[in-house]
Amino acid sequence: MSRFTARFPSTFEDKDDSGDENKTVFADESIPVFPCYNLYPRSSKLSVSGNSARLKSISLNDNNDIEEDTLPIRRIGARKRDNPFKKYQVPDEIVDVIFSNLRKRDLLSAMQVCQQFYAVGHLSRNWTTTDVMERPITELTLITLMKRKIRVLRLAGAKPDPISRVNVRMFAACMLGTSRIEFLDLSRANLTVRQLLILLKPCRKLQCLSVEGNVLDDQVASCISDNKNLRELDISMTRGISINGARMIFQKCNNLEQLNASWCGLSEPILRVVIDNITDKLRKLNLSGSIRENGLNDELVDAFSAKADNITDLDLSDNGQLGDAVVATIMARFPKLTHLSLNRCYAMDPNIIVHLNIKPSLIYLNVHGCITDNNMKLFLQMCDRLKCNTQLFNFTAKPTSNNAPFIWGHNMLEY
Amino acid sequence: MSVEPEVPIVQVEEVRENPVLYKIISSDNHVFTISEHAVKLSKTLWDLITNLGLTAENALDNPIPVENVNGKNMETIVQFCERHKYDEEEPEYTNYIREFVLPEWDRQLLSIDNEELFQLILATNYLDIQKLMDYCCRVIGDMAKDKTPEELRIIYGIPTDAEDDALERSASDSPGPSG
Repeated sequence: MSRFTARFPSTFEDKDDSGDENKTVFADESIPVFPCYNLYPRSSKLSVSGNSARLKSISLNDNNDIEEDTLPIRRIGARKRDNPFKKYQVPDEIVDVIFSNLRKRDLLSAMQVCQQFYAVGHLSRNWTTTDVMERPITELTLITLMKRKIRVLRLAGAKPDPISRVNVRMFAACMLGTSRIEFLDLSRANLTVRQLLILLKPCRKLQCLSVEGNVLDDQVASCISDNKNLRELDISMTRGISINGARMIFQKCNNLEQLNASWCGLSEPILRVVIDNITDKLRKLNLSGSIRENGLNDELVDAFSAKADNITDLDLSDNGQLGDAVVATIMARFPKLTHLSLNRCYAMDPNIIVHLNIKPSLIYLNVHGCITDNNMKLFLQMCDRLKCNTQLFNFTAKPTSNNAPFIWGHNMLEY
Repeated sequence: MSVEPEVPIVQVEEVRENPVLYKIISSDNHVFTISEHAVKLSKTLWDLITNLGLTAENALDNPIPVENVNGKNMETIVQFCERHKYDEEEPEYTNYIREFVLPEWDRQLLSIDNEELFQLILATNYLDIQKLMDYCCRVIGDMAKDKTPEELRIIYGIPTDAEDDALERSASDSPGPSG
């Protein structure tokens, strides 16, 4: 019996639910709303066999006419054209030149047209600079993106889907691949570790990277450490960095010019690893907000000042352990320093900070929160040579500043 | 009297124009004459001319047959080449995105049927005329601006995968087992 019903469901329904109108209503009521012509039987012999009076009342021939009238794509009188791409066998190179005239959003709709277009558009150099800022993304999106020829990728503020996953084979293939991304902005994207691995594992040529606000465990750190040409690294606001991870990153990435390690929970041992591996190529450094009571101290700053002569921009804000000795270190070392931030370093005596006025290279000094309002006027008088408290934010190794449509100098706007 | 005002114009042209002319025969036996500067825009034709060793003396006696291009397309191409023969060399595109503006004259020239445009592109590809290629592709690309995939399918006449499969199936079924 069960076999029989599987083969002829209509017969089965008509026999068993002869009185039940609801089961058979679908035919006449749903068609005007959802024209699913594929499901609708063409031959009148097939289903109007049973007992349903309502089914009998439908004239199937009429419905066939409707099918002719309301085909979803082709309109009445629309001139039917042959596919010129197929007719003339337009080679992929020409399609590629045609696609080079399209904006990305037009390219995306063109890629949905047919398989040839997708294949050509997928490899198009239109994707060299790709902006996925603040869009919803899944793992599949990321893997597809990694296969394209992208050099500059912005995923800042993207909204990742933490649940949907690609299958194991695609993930493994992505782990083995390589990518040509050089500039990658992941700030505020809040990706899962798996998604970070998809993005970072294939990268070998990164020059600038921002992982602001993401997880930075040892796996991610080992991916980052594969990029020996890294010039600007922004790991601010990350969580989960370990001594091991820091060692991997900073021992292998010897070409860092800008480093932003603010507010990522750096403890004293980690800071020691960072400072031990710093080279004199470093120009901008942000170490603000290390762990309270176990963070940046005077001795570490002294050790670091001996190694980094070329520093121009230094931010040591929010390190409560830093005392007056640091000011002396800064006065004596760092011959090229122009920008200095010591915001909210409450352990420093304003009377000592004032001495920075006579450091010849220094131009900008930010001491938000260190000076009381009553003393501010006096402080400004004594530091007459410096521009005090002019900058609210530090943009060391940040992709953008002031919401400009550039990341590391690459324009993200489409014309 | 009426000839006199035309003389200086011709002279100005003569000064700029190289008198060397070449003859081209299209696939349907139309003959076109084209000046040396214009023919240089087509790398294929210019290679052919240098390889054949055509000079100012014997150029008009030895027409060049071009089998792959018909008369209509060749006419468009000759018009285009004559118009752009004194254009300056364009700098190499460093950026992949082509940032040029399509001149009005060329837009008029290329406002033709889809079919003809594709024939023209293939002819241009064969003759290797970079500039005309860029312009044609720009025209086709402009058609796709702000369109959905379904609209693009209608514009270019491309069937969906499902329709394509159905067509192929019907094509393979139609001969029947006996045929």
